[in-house]
Amino acid sequence: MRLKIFGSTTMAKACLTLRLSISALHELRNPDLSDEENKRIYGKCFHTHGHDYGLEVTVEGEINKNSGLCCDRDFFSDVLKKEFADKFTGKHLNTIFKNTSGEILVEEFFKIAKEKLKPLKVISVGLRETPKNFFLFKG
Amino acid sequence: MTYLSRRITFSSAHRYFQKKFSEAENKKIFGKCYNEHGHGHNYVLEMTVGGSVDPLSGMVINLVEVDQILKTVTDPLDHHHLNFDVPEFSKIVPTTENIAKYCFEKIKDLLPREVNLEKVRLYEAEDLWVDYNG
Repeated sequence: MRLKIFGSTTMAKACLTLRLSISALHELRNPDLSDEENKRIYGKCFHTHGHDYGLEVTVEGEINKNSGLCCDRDFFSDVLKKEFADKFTGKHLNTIFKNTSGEILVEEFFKIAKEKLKPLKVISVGLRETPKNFFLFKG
Repeated sequence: MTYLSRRITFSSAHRYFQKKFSEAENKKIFGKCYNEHGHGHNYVLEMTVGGSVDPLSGMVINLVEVDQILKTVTDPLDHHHLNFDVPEFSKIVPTTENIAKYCFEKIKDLLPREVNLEKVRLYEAEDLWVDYNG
């Protein structure tokens, strides 16, 4: 981490959020159930469709006294691009995750963000599926 | 406890530059934000206060008062170059983090005692924002 070289912090914590867009396909389908049961549970979401997902990743850090920054922003955005935008854009998410409900996806995305963004401290991930619904996972 | 959030926008120029760093260090840490003349943003400042609802007015705090506070805090920033025109940022870098902290502290000083400043959120862009709560 580049900022560590410059050590001292102000002891004031801030949370920085970056947002990115992921256009991907999914369908709500539990592979352990029959098509009929899936249709009954998930209605029209059972059909393959897509979203412009809005992914919001929040990290917390102490504001560095010299740089005024709470994290390495380039590292943060590079990881998000590599691990989310590049990996999931244009993909059928059901080929990657067993269940692609917003609730499951937001937790899976949190786990990825937490692991790949180390040593940054990820405190939450938000996932906007449509303008009308939003999922939040706090770790 | 009931929470109320209100926004205001302001437009400012800033440059990420720390004189304690060498030119190479400034470039490495701040990248494009180190450009000689800096750059600008349409900032959106959102403050959230928490308090009990007054039984007579039905309000946590009067929005007229909130708007006055937000205007008082952001007027010195709006249409200014933060590095040169705001004394606080002559010594510290006007990063989104530091501007959020600055706004939080100024708003807190102006708010009536009975309401609590829960946090400020400062949007530098639609895809980047900072939350600060003291």
